[in-house]
Amino acid sequence: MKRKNFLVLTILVALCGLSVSAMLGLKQHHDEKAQQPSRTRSAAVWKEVYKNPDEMVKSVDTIVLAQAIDRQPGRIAYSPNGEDVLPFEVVSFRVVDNIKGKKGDGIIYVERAGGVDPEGKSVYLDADGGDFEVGNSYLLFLKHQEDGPYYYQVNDQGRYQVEGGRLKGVNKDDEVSVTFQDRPVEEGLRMVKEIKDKAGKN
Amino acid sequence: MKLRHAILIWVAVFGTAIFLGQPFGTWAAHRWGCWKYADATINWYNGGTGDYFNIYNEEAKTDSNAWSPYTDIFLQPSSSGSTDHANAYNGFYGSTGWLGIAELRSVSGCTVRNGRARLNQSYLDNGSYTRTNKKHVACQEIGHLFGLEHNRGSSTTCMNDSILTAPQPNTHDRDLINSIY
Repeated sequence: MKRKNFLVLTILVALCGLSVSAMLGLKQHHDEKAQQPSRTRSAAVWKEVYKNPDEMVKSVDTIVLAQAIDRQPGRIAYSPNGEDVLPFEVVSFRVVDNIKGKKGDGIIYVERAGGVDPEGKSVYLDADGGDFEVGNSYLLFLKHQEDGPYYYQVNDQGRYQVEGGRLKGVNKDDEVSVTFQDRPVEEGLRMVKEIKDKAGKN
Repeated sequence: MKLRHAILIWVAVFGTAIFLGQPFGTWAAHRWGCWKYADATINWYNGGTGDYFNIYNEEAKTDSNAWSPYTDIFLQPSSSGSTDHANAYNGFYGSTGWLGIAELRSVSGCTVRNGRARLNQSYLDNGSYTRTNKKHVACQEIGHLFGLEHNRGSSTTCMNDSILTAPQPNTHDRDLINSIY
């Protein structure tokens, strides 16, 4: 076979491969999307988006492994024209392991948007992972409110529910969340402590 | 070259091409689940106040690359509502962690009946954010309502949630929206 013919045919084979691959990927994606609604029904632009766990560990005020023990309705926020009503809830956690920042009696309070508005309409915001379940444990990366008494979850990278002894993040594809995703709790906590200690030395 | 050797090389090239081509097949990966409004004509209520009214208006309808003229979506000005509606608001929502949030308040299967966008002035008005930043957030929340997910792979789209400097949809967003509606 002549060299020129070989090269032309090789390029054609490569293009065929690329096309088949792209079509298969697209079909699979469309099939997956067509079958079911997304798990989430809200999406946010977070104030902080971290590129790696080191950034997040350094940035937050508090890191705890804690068990949710109570949820109570909180404040109501209104838009300036009064048309938008946003309820909040306050979730109480019993701290199981204090990794960074938290001091005090072992109870920590986290405020998040969501709940029932004054007209009885449910507002379900799950960009942060959704409602906390009382009784469940979470690894939480928190900041203290600038204008309030509570902590808040820093973003969707900052929550890992403990399921079967392993950490489950909110967004499994996120570059930070994937670091802790599915790791045994002890291993995840050890990683966070190592990152914190390393940051403390620098 | 012997034909046998050529075939072996072609098999290897084909396999490699299939592997390398996978990213091209995921271009639609920035769709948010299967969420979409019933059709491309959506009732639009701008409940923004002050300059946020202008920001929402620019991102939704009046900028040259606003969602409504730039894509196939047509936003029909309307009063606030809960049927086939996209409603947009701003407010001092406090230390929530989010600059803006899109909420699908009512859905039926994959069909969005009522979507709501919110911009958090507690952060956006604290002096750290430019008008371009605010427009980026508004643009993204509107894009979410129409069925788009975050896209950190491009710095030219407002659907990138790791930057705040691209206050417009890009051609990928337009193509994806037009393929959905």
